Amino acid sequence: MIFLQANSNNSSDFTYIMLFGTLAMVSLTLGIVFFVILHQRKVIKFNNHLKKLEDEKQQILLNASIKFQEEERNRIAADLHDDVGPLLATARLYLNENMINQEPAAQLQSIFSAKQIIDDAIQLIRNISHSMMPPTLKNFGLESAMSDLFQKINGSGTLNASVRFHDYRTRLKLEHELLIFRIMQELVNNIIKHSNAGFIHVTQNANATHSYLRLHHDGHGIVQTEFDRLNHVSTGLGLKNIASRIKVLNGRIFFEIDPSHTYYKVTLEIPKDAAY
Amino acid sequence: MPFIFGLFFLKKGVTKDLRAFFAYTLILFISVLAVITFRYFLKNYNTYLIFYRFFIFGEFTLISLFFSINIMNEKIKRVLKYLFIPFLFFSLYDYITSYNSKFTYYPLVLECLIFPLIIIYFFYEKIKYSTKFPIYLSPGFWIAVGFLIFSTGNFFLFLFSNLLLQDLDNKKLYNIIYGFFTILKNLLLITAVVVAKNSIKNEEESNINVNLELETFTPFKN
Repeated sequence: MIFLQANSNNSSDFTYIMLFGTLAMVSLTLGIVFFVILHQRKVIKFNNHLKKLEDEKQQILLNASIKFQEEERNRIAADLHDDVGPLLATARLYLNENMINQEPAAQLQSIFSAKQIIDDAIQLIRNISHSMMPPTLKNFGLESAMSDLFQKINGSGTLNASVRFHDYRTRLKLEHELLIFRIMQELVNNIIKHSNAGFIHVTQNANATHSYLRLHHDGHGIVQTEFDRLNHVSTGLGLKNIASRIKVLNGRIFFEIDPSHTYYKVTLEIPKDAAY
Repeated sequence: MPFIFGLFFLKKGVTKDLRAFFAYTLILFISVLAVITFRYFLKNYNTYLIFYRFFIFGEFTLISLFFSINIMNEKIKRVLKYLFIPFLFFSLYDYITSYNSKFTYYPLVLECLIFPLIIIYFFYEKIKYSTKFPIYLSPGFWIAVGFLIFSTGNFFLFLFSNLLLQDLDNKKLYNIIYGFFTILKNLLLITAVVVAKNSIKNEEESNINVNLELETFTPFKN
């Protein structure tokens, strides 16, 4: 500020400097203000767009899960109506009022037939119940349930299926295990139906915070971008169910192809806070 | 003007930062009254200048307090909260050292240097964190713009004031520029008061008063 003490003869020069400086400063200020407004508007617009996309995705997932629930209910209703209903009706026929007038041998035969039919009905109801909650999963956990499932697939002889759990000392919560099991079931079903794979292999491992399940297969698979795309189209329930289940688990799923292009990988990442 | 608008508009639900701003408009109002009284009626120019020094200190303290409430960075918040202390010492030093207790404008120059820095940081934070509502819907934005334009517009004016005020023509120019930016600042501060009123109103409307008395609510009582 020493130059402020300069001679007053230079005051007109200072007037111009002052005017120019003031104009420059005000222009700069207005520039900053407009930049702030425009930039913030741009950010808000972008955030709103992201929120809209997220809302749309949520809506699709919600619709898918409702539709899936309805389909599941219809399946159970159909199983009960078409299979269990006729069986019990037949059993009722055997055990009608006329049975009392029959010969003892015929009576015994009717009772035996009715018993067999009721046994069949019990088995059917058990199958329906097992399809809702596999007993192996409930009693012995995810590892056993997965082994069970893969043994059945292996038994068909068309596909080589194997499973290996490396670190599953702490079981996850039952409802989370069921969700993971359903995801794996859906993935395996898709592979069997669409991929024409020769083998499916599942490995499991864990670190301090997450548990990982990786599924390998040598058929025609999909990669992450395709999964995201299919997830956004309104048709097809399977992948959307996988996505909604992953969301409930607070986990992540990655669809990849091996660099050698010989097999596909699907990796599930589940946080360990879902453990017991 | 901002104080009068504030009296009409801001009645309840005023936040801490707006209270600081309202206190500023109050001292602004008092200082205008003092200018009129001391300068034009009592013709006591020295008392007016001392009063003006107090006003500058009050303005600096309250506006830096306003931004310290609005800025999120804890370190800068703390610095702004106690920035009035070094400013007070500088003002006292300037008063003591100024020749024959003459007004030097240096505290104003310092104020015009510090405010834009604070405001630019304030804008930076707004860009970074405020991504939900447009910035111009908050009163803080208009207050910041008002002070930014006032500070940057008057910076060179205050810096060269000792030279400018020696010449009558330049004195006129000084008054025009200073008057223009002061009116502009006050208009922007009035806008801030109006925006603050609307934001308080919107907040009140979004808070639906639920008073169902759930403990004693018996809908099926005959």
